[in-house]
Amino acid sequence: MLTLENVHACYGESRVLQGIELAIEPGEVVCLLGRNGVGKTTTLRAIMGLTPPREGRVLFKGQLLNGLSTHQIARLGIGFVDENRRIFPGLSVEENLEVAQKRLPEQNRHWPMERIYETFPMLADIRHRDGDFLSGGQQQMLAIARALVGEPELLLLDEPNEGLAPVIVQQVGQLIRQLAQTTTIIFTDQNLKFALKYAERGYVIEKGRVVHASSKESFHSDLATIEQHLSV
Amino acid sequence: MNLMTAFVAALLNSFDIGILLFIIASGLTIVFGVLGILNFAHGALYMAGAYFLLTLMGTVGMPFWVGVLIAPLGVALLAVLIERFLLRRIYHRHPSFGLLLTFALLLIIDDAVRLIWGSGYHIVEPPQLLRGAASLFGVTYPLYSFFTIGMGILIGIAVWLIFHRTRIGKTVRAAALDPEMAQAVGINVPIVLTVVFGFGAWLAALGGALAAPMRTLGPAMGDTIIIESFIVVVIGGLGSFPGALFGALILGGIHGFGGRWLAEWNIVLPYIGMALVLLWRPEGLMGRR
Repeated sequence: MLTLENVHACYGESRVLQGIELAIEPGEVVCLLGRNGVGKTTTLRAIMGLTPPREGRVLFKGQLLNGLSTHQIARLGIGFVDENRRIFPGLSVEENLEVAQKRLPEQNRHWPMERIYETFPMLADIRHRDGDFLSGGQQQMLAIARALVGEPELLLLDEPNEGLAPVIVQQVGQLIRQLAQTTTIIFTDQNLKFALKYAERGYVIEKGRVVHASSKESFHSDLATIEQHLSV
Repeated sequence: MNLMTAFVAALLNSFDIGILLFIIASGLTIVFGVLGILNFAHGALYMAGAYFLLTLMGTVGMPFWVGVLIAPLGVALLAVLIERFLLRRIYHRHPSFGLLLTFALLLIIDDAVRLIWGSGYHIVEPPQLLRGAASLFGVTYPLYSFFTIGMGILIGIAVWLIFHRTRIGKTVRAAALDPEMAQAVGINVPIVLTVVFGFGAWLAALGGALAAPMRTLGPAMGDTIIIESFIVVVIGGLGSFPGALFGALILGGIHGFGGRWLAEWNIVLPYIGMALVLLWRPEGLMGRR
């Protein structure tokens, strides 16, 4: 589904990614683990072309993404949820969804508006509210819904739990589980507990490199190693 | 003339000037709001609209009604080329690049007008249907001015509907608010910027074409209008569309009423108004902080 080969990326002069290697199979739920500033966000941004790789290759369903612009990558079927959610502030909830909707005949949509509002009932009640006036949880749900109306096959969630109340964190987890039935998901996290509960396997990133990759079988038995990487 | 008719005349003058300024300044403010470029060449595009109409009616022999539709489209096409080949290169640079580039464009367009049409003055005749005058509350006023006021109101409503009721308008707003996130949800932001710059130029040129029968065409006609448009958007708030309407009506009012009762102050009043707004609300009356 998605392969990163020796991906390097920079912010200005500092090389944030130094040879990331990932291989994600269709239908997987994978977590990128690591402490703050190790390159988890940049890895997702490199996939989206927001921080274009300086070296290495990104392949999605066999197609090379290097050199494509971000909107082309999004339209190929990759949804992106930013860690800061970045709801368009002057637009209502419904308008935020409308501008992100993939242009498709209505009958070909997996995520028509009705299904979005069934999946996210809290958004249905506030569909006319301005994006400026949403709680953190509402913003996060809207950010995920906005990615879904783009009809992604692969969903990238950057720190989906950051700054959210425990009830909402649980809702996000259940949502990941529900979406995983039809969508491949990569999410980043610093919290091992959440990752173990909702991801099938994980990568640990440190200083812009993958330092540990767990298989589905070993994910839960690798705990000691993973914890060591996260705590150092 | 009693006070009542003087008041109505001043009011009509205010709208006559204000609505035209609104059409032009709304293009300026939309371009700034979406592209982040303060377009010095906006007045030159206004002038180009008037001169294109002159040639379409004179040399080509088109009727006014056809020319007034086509001339702004021609200018918009020119603007699309400007955006695609020049502006696009400087978005990621310091804002001063945008000022320098559009100032250069202003000089180039001004001189191109002198080369093509000469430095003399030209007149565009209003269409037969709109010659003469009409009376309102005892004030006789040019029929053509009623037409431009009506057109301006229609254009204002149409632009508002485009931005708030159509998907393309909402897409433009999203791209203006957060271009990077807009790209990430699949919006082709470079195309949005091209379209918006073309649209802003279309508004300037439409203002120029509509103004042509009321004003004398000369190579400096864009300079006064760009200064007035800047005052309008500073008063209303840079990037704010309702702000452009308010700013334009305020400036129109200053000209309309100031011109009648404070004639000797009329030249400085717009600047005093702008200074007061800057002191009181530096972001403009409707601007975002």
